[in-house]
Amino acid sequence: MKKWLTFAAVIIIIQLFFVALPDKNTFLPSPLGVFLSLADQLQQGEIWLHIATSLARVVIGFLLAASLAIPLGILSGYSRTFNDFLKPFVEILRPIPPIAWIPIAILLFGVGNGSSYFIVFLGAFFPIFTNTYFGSVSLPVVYRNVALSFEVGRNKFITKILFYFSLPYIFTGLKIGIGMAWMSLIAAELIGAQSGLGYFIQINRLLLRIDNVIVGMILIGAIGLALARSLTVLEKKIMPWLPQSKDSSY
Amino acid sequence: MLNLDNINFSYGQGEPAGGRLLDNFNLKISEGELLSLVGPSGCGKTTLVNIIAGYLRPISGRVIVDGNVVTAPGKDRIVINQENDLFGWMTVWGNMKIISEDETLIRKYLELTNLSDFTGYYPRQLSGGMKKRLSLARALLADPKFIIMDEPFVSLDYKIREKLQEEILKIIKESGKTVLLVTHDVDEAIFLSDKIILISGRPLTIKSELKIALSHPRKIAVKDSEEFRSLRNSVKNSL
Repeated sequence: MKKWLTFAAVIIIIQLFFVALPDKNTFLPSPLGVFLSLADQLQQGEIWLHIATSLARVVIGFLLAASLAIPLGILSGYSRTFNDFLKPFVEILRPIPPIAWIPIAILLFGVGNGSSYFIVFLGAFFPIFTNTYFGSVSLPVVYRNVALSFEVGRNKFITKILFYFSLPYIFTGLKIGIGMAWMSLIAAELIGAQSGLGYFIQINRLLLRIDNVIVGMILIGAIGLALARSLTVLEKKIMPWLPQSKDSSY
Repeated sequence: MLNLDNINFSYGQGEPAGGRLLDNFNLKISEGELLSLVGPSGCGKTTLVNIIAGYLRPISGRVIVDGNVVTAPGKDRIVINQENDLFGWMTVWGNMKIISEDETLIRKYLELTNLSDFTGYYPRQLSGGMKKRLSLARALLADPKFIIMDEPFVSLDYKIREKLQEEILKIIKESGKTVLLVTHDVDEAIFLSDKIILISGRPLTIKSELKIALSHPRKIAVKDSEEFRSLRNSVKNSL
């Protein structure tokens, strides 16, 4: 809680700075001004639609990415042949920023939600895949040996041993992936969308409502944080065998 | 029971400068016997364990278990490792269940190893001694012909180690399994074994053999007996 107190203190100091300012006619709104605009927007209701739209897009794209990246990552770690096949694709595609795909996305999926899912998918896929793969290849030799000696079958080995061993790595990937997905989505919405928080910022920029632009930014930050936090909560629920650290929120 | 027939092994390609780790190594273990290999660290004991288990293939020579030549790891030879070899994400029950679906047998072996009250615990929540007992319970559940214990007590502190040696010896003797114990601890070897083989390294060579005729069931107190002391002396003299 303490870190949020210092955070609030900094905001108050900025507000005091604005109060002390002789010329009130700046482009930048004061913290209080932004806060009032935020309250206003939340009351008007339209912003909720943008929030819901962006959230739906990020969740769907993210789930699509996870459901493909996790199995592929596990299998890549399990099978050398499979990894050799997949690696060139991953290596060449990974450095391309998701927003560079926007023209292709629009050609493939039009301007609707399909493009957004695709961009989110690309943002989330690589961190999840890479971390899962890393987990899968770091299985200690002793576990592999135990599985061999006890003649644990291949399917059981992959689903009960390799997957569970990799889970902490997978969650690292998911946490990085959700952040990447969220950022990619907002960038995509800034460029080519008719709804969502990115669009909300863009339209208010054109209307010169900088207070609303900042409202949009605050919401993006808060929702991004909430998404990452919910994964941390899920992580603790799913992996009770790990020692619980005091604060792993970063 | 177990027969090592002219095993040759070295790591890497070609002939290593220091000579082979295993050079025409032979060893026989009879049914129901608990045999210890005692030798200094780095003499190739763990390599030998890995060959018997089937994790490593010898350059030449054969490992024969009950008349069958070993070509891959299998349920007939289970290794209890030096390090923790339990699946950390499975409970005590889960660690057993992945080996066998037979819940009656699982209960039987958990009872035997005094773990019945801890079925829902994760390995992290168990003491070092309990973890080893679970490794043993899991090994017995697979019903192997042969159990290999590679320095199983090395990570435990002294008090727990002695108590655990007593417990595990009792369980093993009652199960009638053939066991190969690999250790560098002379007392441990004398206390647990029917026969001790003293070895030295590079290449792995048998220096001497010693029969241990201490009666069963053995208690830790036997370590203070005259008989034990003289066995210890004869081992120390041969080393």
